[in-house]
Amino acid sequence: MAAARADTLQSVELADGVEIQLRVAGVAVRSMAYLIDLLIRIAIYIGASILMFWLLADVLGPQVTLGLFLLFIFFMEWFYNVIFEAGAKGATPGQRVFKLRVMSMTGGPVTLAQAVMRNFLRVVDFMPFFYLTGIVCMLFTRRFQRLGDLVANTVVTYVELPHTVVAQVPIQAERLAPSQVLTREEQAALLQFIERAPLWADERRLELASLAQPLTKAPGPEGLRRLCGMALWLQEPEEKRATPPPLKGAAYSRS
Amino acid sequence: MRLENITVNLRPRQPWEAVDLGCAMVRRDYGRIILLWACTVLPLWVLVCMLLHAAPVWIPLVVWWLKPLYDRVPLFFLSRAAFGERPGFAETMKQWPRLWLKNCLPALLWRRLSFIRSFALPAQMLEGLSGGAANQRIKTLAMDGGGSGLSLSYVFSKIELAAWIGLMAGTYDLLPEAAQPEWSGLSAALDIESSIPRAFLWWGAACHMLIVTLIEPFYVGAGFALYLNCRTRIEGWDVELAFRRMAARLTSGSAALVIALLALMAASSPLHAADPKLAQADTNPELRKMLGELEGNIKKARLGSEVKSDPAKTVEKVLKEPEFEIHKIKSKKWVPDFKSEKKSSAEMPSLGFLEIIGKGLFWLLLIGLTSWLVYYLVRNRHLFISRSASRAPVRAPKVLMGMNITRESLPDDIVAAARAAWATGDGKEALSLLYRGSLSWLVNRRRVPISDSDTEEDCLMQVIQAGEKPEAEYFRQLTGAWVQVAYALLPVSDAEMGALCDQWPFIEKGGAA
Repeated sequence: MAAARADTLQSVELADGVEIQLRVAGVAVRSMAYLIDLLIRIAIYIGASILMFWLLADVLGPQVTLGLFLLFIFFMEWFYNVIFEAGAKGATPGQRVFKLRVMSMTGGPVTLAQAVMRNFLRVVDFMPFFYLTGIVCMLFTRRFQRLGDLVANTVVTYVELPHTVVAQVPIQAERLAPSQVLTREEQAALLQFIERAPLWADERRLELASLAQPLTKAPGPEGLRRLCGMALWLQEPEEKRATPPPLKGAAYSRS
Repeated sequence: MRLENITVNLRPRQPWEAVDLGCAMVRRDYGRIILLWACTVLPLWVLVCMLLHAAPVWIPLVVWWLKPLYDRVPLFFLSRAAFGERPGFAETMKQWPRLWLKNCLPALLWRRLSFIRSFALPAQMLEGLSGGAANQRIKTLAMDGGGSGLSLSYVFSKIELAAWIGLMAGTYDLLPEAAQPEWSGLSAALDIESSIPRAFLWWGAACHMLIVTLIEPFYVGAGFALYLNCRTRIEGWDVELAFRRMAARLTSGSAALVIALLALMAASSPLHAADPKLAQADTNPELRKMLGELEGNIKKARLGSEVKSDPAKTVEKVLKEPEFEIHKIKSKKWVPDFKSEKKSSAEMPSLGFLEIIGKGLFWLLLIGLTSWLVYYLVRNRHLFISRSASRAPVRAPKVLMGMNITRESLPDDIVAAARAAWATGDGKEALSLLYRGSLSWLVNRRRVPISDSDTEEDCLMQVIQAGEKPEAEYFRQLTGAWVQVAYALLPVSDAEMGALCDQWPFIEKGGAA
């Protein structure tokens, strides 16, 4: 069941059997980033045409200036993305607005060759018009890759970790070891609860705590207090080592 | 619906990531969604087409306007699939009328242009609220996710438009010419109805429907995922579900007991002292089995008050695990088959004469082919040899500017004939004789490349380019005189005519032309 859950995190197994999780970005946000890049390029073209025809046309003649301008457009169209993606940030300005970056499938930065390949194949993704191929391809691949990405073995990922508000208020609860051994998922849920509880209404906190009653063995505010205590206990492993949990303590005493 | 069976990983996400999650959810079940879509939406589309068959230009607009209806069946499917029970075909069909009728009018009238349509739809359809309460609820949700719902609608309408134009541009060249509108006349006519063929409009409507079918489920799924994300953030849905699962696990009792016991044992075991990971492995049946064995070991150890574990057996067991499996790949490689070759040569030693016959046949064939080629070339030699020589006569015009310039049409002694004509006072005839004679000479003898469409000017240019200075100079004077007489109708003086006759250069050496 757990393996079949839909998620935006995509795990990739590396050569050493190491598994990494990539936060891949899909067609919606990438199309927005593309739109911003497009607008930036158009603005640059307008600015460059004014500058070049104003400064160079008298010196070089209008024909040569036009030729230079067309060359400039050619290089921009083909290398704008390549230069930015192969650069230090690994992202075009548009992608940086949306906190995206291009990555190699191994989680590392893209090489120049990969950047060139994925961007030169833009032409294919553009076909027959307005990126129809790319859109369809991104919608139907697991890691939201267009053809260029598939060939160059790259993905576009989110850079920033999800924004979570961590509680700044001190929690009035004593550290308390869980009465039962918890799975990793359950521990994570407890930690999520203690971190995000200040965002919720009192009723909601109580409601959630009452769901955990089989663990806390107490209803109402007492259950909430115990739940917070257990979460605090999970938060600080140092304390955990100093005073072992009663369960394990019992085991030690028996042996 | 059991919340514990959720098939989506919920956690607080950024809005765009939630949109991606929706796309992933739709992609997972795209086949079924499209089947349901085809059964519910396509009949409506056919109905719309039948009603609007007189004015197909309006079909895409109506199809677009009815979109809120289409969204409901995919949303129903997705909301069930998110919790592990994909509704079957019959069940969905049973729900279909209810889904489409619920809140149908507001959705198609005053809520149609709502920018958070797909984000608000789950709240309207799934939460069971109505009227003011539902509005209040949507407002509350929109405080957190409304902005992203809006940009979602923007992005998907943009993608849909791009894909529509892309599909139309991609298939445009496949249309028959009669269906392609006259683009140049379009701006002038300004009457869309008459200047665009109806076939083109139908084709556009079909493309639109195809793209809506492709994109709209993803839009619905993205809106649903945004809604889930919103509830995850403001209500802690992920925590709730995790707690519910935990409660289910803990209250089921026996499992918890086993884990606790095993953890206890594990803690007491010298081999695995205090390894909390073992206790967490309750979901993995293999590990549980291993833990069972471990338990047996520990019991044994306790009984015999000494730990007996066979390292060799443990190693064997560990090596049997899938991580240590050695994968083999079989691949076929082409190896020259020396063996069979030898065999065949050994079997047929007496067939060596075949080789001789074969060689003889080959040489015969080669000789035959070569001689045939030579014969063919010799027979058709005129095609190759006389090509450059024969080009000029073939191309030499017989009539230039309406004048016959063949040698036969001219008198033998052109100059004498011209003088005679001049003497009778027919200057035009005289000059025409000279001009025709010179052209005839230049074309037939000098092979000046003059074609039958050339004018006097062109002829002169060709003659000058062909070289032969004195002839060209003479021809220039002659052309001048001829043009003057023929077109300007101005007479030529006696002296001029006399000079033209005297200087006549187009004579074969040693005799009259």
